[in-house]
Amino acid sequence: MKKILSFAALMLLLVTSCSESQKEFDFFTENTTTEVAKDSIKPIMKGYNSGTHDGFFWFLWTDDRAGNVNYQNGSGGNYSVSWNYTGNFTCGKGWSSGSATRVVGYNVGSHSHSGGGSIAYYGWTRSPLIEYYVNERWGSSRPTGDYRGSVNTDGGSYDIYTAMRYNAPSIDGTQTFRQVFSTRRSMAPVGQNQTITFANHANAWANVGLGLGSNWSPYAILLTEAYGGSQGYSNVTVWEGGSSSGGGNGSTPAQYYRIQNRATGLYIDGMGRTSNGSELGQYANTTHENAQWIREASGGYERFKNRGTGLYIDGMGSTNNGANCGQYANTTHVNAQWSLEDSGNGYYRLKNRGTGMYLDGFGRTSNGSAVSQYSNTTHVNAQWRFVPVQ
Amino acid sequence: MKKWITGHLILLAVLLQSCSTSVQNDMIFIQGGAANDKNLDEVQIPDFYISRYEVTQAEWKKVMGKNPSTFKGKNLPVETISWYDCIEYCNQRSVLEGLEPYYTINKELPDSANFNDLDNVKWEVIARSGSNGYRLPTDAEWVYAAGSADTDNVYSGSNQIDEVAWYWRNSGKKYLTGDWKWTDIEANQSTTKAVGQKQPNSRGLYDMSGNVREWCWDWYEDENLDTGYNRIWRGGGWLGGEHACAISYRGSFEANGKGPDQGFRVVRSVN
Repeated sequence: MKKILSFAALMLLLVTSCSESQKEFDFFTENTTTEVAKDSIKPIMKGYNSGTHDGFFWFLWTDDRAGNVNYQNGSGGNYSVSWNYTGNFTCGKGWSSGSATRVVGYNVGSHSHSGGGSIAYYGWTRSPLIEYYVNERWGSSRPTGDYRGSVNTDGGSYDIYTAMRYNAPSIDGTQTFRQVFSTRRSMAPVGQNQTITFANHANAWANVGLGLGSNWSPYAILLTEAYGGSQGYSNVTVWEGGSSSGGGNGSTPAQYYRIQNRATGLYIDGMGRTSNGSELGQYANTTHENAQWIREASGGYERFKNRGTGLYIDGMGSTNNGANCGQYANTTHVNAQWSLEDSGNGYYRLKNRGTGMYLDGFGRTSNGSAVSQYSNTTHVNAQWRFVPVQ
Repeated sequence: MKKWITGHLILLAVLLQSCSTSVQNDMIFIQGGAANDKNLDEVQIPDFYISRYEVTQAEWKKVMGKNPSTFKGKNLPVETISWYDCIEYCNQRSVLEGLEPYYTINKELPDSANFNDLDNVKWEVIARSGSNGYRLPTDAEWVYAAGSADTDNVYSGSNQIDEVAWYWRNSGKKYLTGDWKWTDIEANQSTTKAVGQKQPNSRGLYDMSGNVREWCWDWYEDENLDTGYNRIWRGGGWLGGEHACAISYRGSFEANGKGPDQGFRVVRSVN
């Protein structure tokens, strides 16, 4: 991770809570207190823009170097950026404040990237001031720092690194802060829905002595950053995947969700069925554990495991419109893997990996009725939301 | 004719002195009393002396030999010095002036009361409260000296920050408007300023607000950060926001931290 990159971020940090907007930081002194950071680079801000677009916080920052950066907000959590730039820029979409428990969904539709930089879930905490990254993809070099450990989560293996930024200017005057980051051992794939269960990273960081701050008011975004002479483009979509206190480390209980249909309000229900291939059902508002599901990361997709029976939602390989969806015991078959596609307002379409069919309530409203599948449809019958069980 | 010449010679001498010699940073007597800051309920401050100006680079170099400052000038406040550097300065200056060093410094063992991972110095520093040597002000002393018994100014000496303080808007070539932006400040060639150019406060102290932040003795502590991590600074500096220059604002920094806006002033107890 480049030592100077953080000024771009720090400068955005205190926008919401200072009497004067804090929009930038820089590393401007070589009088560092350790050997870690010796940069005395003086980036000059060329442009900083931020705002809210389609319900998502976004920003673009560039320094005053030759080249161009073209950032465009797309609908919902989507943005695209293309660049041919000699300096450093950061941009992205996400949330105006962070969260220790946010589950981040994202999809990198395309990504080409020479030079330094990464695509990462990225933000800050205060008290103390700490900058964090979950690096999913990168340019010509994999971001590293002082190695502290590793964590397996969301279908990937990540190494944990840390670095210090010493004596950087802020609206308070000079400040010092820590960077903490996870970097995937291999880049996350392009064109697939991915999940970042942030709590698993935060817990793993804490376990190696890199706990974050107690104040989550600074932003957290799905970042694209480049520096050091870079060309490329990215098209990224981010969405809120719910919340989770973690569980990938076995240290915290699993988070259960109910999966509710947008059209009818019915919830997906395992109906207590335990045999492989048995039908999946729907049921009106119920707190029964048959209607509660664990979301598991599975190779870039999600599996949905029933709390009552342990069976997984399975498309059974059916490709006919209206074919009923089933349940199956622990399997990593593609028929049991689903991707989330954002339909807005917290709803998603659930697309089967094996067949490309979407889970569809079919407008049924009676308790115990079947859940079906349908080919590419944007009907509300095929839109679902995840309601965390408190 | 003779008077005219004498007058002009005196004027010339004054001008020359102001250009070429170091300012006399004398110690101002502060009569003790009840602290008037809301953070300091019922604190009784004993009499003490405090330097009229922030410690200058000339004063630093005379004692320490080297000048670590980012912006060079003998009447500029010394900066880019850690809290530990200031502790050493106080003791060495005390020795030079025949006073008893105020601090006992143990550099061998890390201070077990210092929990800050970022602090790779961690000297154990013990105050010897009976001695007459130079020392850092306590947080309470600083606030007491910055304020005044009969007024309630936001900044030390005024409610109008530009009358008393060098801060991010006025510390460069032109007066900056709009929001705080480091790159604007840097492009504006903002720097520290020679001490004593703004209006003093009612006690005759200059630059209590602005110019450089001033180290205090105490650990910083609030609802989010326990004691044993950071030391307090007060008064804000040339690159920081207005809020940091307010008497009421208590800043926090690692004791080994350094910055071109981080300096100090000295005090002595009245024994």
